[in-house]
Amino acid sequence: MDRRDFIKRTAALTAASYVGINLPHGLGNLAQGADAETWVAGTCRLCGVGCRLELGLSKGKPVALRGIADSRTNLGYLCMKGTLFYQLIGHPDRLTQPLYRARKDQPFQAISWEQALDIAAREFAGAVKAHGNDSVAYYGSGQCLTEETYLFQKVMRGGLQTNNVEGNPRLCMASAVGGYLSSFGADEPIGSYADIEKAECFFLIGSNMAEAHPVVFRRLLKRKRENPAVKVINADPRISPTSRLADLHLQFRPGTDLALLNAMAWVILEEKLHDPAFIDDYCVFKAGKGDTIDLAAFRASLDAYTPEKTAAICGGNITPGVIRTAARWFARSAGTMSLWCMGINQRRQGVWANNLIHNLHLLTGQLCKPGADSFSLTGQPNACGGVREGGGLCHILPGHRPVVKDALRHQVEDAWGIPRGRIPAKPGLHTMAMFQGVNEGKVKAIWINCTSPAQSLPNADLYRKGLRRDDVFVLCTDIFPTRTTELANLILPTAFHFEKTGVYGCTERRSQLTPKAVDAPGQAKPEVWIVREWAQRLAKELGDPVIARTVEPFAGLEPDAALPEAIWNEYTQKLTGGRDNDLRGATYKVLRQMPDGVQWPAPTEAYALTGGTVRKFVRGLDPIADEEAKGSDKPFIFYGPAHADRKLYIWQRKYVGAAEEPDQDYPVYLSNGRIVDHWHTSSMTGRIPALMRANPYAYIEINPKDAARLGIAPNDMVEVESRRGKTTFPAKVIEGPMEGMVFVYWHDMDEERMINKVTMDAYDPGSKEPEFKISACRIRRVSGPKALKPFIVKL
Amino acid sequence: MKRIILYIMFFALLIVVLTACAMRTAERPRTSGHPALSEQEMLIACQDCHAQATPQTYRQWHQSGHGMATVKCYQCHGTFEGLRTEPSLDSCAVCHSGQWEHAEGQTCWQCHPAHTFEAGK
Amino acid sequence: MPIGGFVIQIDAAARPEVLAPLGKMPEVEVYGDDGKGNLVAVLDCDTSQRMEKVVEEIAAVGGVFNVGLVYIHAEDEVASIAAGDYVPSRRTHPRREQ
Repeated sequence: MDRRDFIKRTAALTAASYVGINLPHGLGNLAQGADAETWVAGTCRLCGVGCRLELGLSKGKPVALRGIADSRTNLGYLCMKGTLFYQLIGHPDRLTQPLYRARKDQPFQAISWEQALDIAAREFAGAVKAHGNDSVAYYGSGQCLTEETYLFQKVMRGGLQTNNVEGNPRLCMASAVGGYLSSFGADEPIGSYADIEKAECFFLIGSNMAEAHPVVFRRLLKRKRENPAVKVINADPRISPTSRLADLHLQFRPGTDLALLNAMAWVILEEKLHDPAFIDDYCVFKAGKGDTIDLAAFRASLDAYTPEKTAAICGGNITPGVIRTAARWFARSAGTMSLWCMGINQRRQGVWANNLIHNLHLLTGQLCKPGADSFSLTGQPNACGGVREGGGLCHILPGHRPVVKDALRHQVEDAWGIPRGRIPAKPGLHTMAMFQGVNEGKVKAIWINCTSPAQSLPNADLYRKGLRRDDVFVLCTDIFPTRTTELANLILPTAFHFEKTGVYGCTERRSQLTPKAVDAPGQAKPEVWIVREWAQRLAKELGDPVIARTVEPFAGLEPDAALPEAIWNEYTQKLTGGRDNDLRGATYKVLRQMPDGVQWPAPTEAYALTGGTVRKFVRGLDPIADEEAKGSDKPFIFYGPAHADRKLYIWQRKYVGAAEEPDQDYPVYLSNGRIVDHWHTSSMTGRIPALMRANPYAYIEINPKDAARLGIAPNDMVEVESRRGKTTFPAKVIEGPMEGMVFVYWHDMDEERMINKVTMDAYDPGSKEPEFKISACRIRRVSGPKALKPFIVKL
Repeated sequence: MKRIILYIMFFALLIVVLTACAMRTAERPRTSGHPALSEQEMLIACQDCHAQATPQTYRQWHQSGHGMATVKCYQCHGTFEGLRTEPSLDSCAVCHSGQWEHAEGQTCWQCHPAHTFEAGK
Repeated sequence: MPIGGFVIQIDAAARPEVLAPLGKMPEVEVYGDDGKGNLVAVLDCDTSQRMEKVVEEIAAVGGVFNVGLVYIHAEDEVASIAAGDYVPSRRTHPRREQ
């Protein structure tokens, strides 16, 4: 409340006391509630939960957000970030006009959109002419609307003939994709949040969902409080706010979870807790790159992971007894739901770790029934919908189509009306290779949309060096200045959430529409308009009519509603039919009617209006399963596109440690993660005063035993140094990270407190997702407490 | 009604007189009742001090559904700048708008004790 | 930039019809009522002359009986008048519009 609000409040209270009125509802504006205040339904802009909410407008200005009680994602709840992001609409720091500089040591000059689009087209076309199609790249975001990701990748692939299309979900979800595809043959969870209210046992691993997904966590909390018999197992090297819900906390040495998961499988088989009928009907055992083995061979491979041997590997509080307890609870409950996130995905063995969680569900048949699912949590609001489904990664085309499959690639080319062979058959550069390409000067022009790799890439300084090169043209589309716009040649201001129209697809296969409710500030424009105008200029620069054809269906459409709807229609109607993410029924018309969107598969509008598919692969619940069931007498049909044999795979995966384990020089495990008040690089949450006040800078959490040994007191300044760099944080001495491990909050953009200058850029050989979560460091106290200031990048 | 401008011109005259007497009009002090905080102290999370300053309230909150689910002090009471000792029901309605009718015009904490928010009395 | 606290007395039966037009006035915020025809409102206007105009507009709304000023804060305007930066027009009698 500022001073004027305070005076207004005094004025109101004085007037109220004059006539003896007790002001109801705090001090809300009644007249606004009665009439002028309108509420526009949409989806939260921040994490991947997909909370449905309403933006409150008073006299056309955003004044509030509130949860929608009917929504099946959030049941009305919002976290503080979701309550306050309306303050970013019309925020004074917003980028409001195109900015350009030829060289990165020059100041930015404001230019017109005409000039900006000409420069963008000239630079990308110039790079293609001089260095070939693969010298240009697009690096997008799991926060872009599906329409945006789809149109960008269409122009890049069909127009500029490169698969150099990536996005930050590579840094967070790629291992989950790899896990789902290799274990179940189909990406994305089988079940839904609705399973939370049916589950009897929760297995949480590598997730601090109390802070990273607070609203889903509230559903777990409610389930547990109303049904104390429900068991919660939390496996994490750090005791986090999530652990407070746990009946059993498994604290293991970072990276040894692969052994732990194998040990649970061992107990399940040893104690005959498995479900032989489910395994016989639906599963095969696989080893290596896909060799089929039998149960006996699988079981023999687990003999290296008896509870006794595994307890010795895992350290921490892991005993043979707790491993057995966890396995028994998991297997015996009427419905077990696993939930995990970055602790599992951001790992050099991320795909394998995902496989090993799925294994537990397959062995015990804890799948496809109420309360049972192997459920990967997502970090961003549209990593699933836009990037995984919409073709936003270098190896996949829209509708879960691998680039390398000729027939599927041709389907896309045909749908776009461009010549076959136009889309290269070879996948493009994955994220780490893309920025390596920037470092090496192979990528000459890169378009970075709605994300800040200069802060969010691991070993960030190495890649910032490349982005600073003057022979690499860096274009950023964003709403605020970031660590990445600092390295740009051209910054294009974009419309924010509720300033444009489009669809987000959240964690549980649910697509939800957010309509435009207010105008974007200044000259900020929706991305779909920017891409269309850019593509038309590119076509001229390169004299290539096929580039123009990629945006021809959208020519002349007004950008606020008609343009995104036309793009959505093209994507869903032409490219999702016959695919597992069939979205043909989820038209804008249907999405506008639903309080909480539609879960795919949803082949028809009539079916979509029921809400769509709550549980995939189950006959009677999933229309594709019904269609594909021909002749089968089984209740589940695993029609996923990646497994032609329609089987689920139980993988033999051995325990492999982290890429960089502590040693004599760097003896401490370093991990990092989110806190509840901030999100990603804090370019948004850092600009909301209440959130910044609540958590003004990153801390390093240190176990009290380590702190005592190193003479570190609370709030002392502690330097963290790895082979890649060093940073300094105030200390929180807390029974959080286990002994020998530190944990740092990753959102802070202050140069001295950016943890990704220190983290490790080794990545999973399958998913190419980097191992943010584990590296080796050394720590030392540099001083007593210092007065620190919150920091946000300004222009 | 009386002319607003006359009120204001009266105050203007008063100011001229007071200024002539070399008096300065100082910013009025805050009246939230919270002790004054330095800029640096304002960067400390509420619960970090209140665990000691108001331990019973802290415990009630910490053990409650709100405390478990990291619904922090400022979500209902605001930060120091806009501190509300008694929260506005609008801040409840962000998540609990479905309970609006059930409340029948009362505040939530008339039945569900503040900070624990246990089942109704 | 004066801020005024007002009690607006209205026909209690016509509450929605009164609130609707008030909601459209950008300088008016209604904070509560007693169900008996007393509304508590705050006006936040650029100048006191503007505030008078808004008061007249409110008074003209059907169902409004009286608009009574209870509290006025005009520190900045007072200061600018005192400093000679702002000279309000010297009307001594409100203009009556028939």
